[in-house]
Amino acid sequence: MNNDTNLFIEVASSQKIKSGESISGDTCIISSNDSKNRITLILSDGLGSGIKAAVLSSLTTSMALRLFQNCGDCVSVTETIMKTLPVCSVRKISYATFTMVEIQEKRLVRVVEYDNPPIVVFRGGDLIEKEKQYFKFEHPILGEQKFSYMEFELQLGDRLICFSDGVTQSGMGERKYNFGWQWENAVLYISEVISSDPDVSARDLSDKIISKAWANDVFQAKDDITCACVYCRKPRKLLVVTGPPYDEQKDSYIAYVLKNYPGKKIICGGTTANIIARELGKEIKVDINDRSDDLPPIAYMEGVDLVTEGVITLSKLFRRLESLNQVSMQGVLRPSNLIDKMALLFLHSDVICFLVGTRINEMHQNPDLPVELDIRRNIVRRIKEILERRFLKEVQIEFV
Amino acid sequence: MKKKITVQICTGTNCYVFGGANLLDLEKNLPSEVKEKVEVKGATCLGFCKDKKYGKAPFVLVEDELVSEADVHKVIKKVMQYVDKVVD
Repeated sequence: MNNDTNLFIEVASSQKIKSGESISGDTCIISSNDSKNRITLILSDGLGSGIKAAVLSSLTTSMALRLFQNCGDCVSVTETIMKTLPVCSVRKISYATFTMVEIQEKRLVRVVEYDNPPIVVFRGGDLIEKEKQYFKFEHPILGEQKFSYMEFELQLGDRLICFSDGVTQSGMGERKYNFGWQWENAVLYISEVISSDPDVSARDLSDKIISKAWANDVFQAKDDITCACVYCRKPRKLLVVTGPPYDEQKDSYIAYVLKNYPGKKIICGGTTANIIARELGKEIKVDINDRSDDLPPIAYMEGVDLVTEGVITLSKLFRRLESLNQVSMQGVLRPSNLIDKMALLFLHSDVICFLVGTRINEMHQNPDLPVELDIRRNIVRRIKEILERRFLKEVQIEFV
Repeated sequence: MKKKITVQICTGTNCYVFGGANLLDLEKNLPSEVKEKVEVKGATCLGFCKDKKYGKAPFVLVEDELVSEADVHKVIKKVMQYVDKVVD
């Protein structure tokens, strides 16, 4: 078992829908099991585009996810899926292709590929080739079918990148890439991105790859463009201190934790900010002109990345996170907006620690309040759940 | 005597939801002849909401004087009491 807290598996996916379609025919699911020791990523490309392709690829991903998570034998699971999938009666090809990546205990990687562009593996800045095993079986309609399987040990700095053929075929027919961008050029591009930014996150890398493919198509995607990246990295940490401690004697503790925390820092709450400023001898400046989204203005404190109001801001953050999904973040979040800026700080972190003061502000329970204010710890619990379930973050909460 | 009159608007949750949000544009509502003599600042929770003896939110401090249930009109009125004391 590898419970190394210095390792974090970041998984992110990005997507552009084929121009003129309202729904993507590619589906990408990223999921972790309840005990969080197994991450599964499945990218499926449905035949054609639009609703029909979307139904086929979501059918494939949900079936594959269920089977891979509950059955250890990848090879027999893959055969079962391939035999179950519907077949196009005209073209005699399967209705959906897929790539499955599974990471156990932050160490063992297993990859099954069926007809998608080959997965790309980078160790640091170098493309590495892992040996694949090929399996063949007789399909009742399609005849002989082939899929590949590989497994290897994940190391710090490893990246796995998979994409649909909308990436490799992007730009087809355009002057620059007559035959499409192709796998080799995509790999070259990935290599350039990594060498110019060796710590590039999975999120940014997948966003960059689809943006490039979209540009190849002159910003009118000719097919659904989907990319998913896995990055085994040292965790980027974020501390969120919110609420005054129940016991005033703990005031110095929250200030101490914040001061010594090795990562980004957010304070949510005016009283909390006052306590920390007092304990650390810092000054707080509120900029009344810097406000957005009907929220109280933000404040500034040396050594802290963001200082905001407490419960209203956290409630809005929760609703914003709820409105996002794993593949639709690119271009949606605007750093000029406070909640989006905050959401980006969360999404660009891997391990998020909440230090939650449990002293109840009695005024927040006033029935005359024009808005409903939820209890802080409940909002934080909901944020934790969505960050873990939807964005695969590691979230810890300490109540003080 | 100080050059400018300091106005601190509490931006704590309670003050904000009870109408403090409308006070943040106070500067724009100040009479033009007064604007230069006043410095409008935001403050993290000033703590007055935690004790009923101070009255109701929103709270604004004009210099050291507390204005409770503050609205733009009340704050400007308080500011005007100070304006004459300011030495140009």
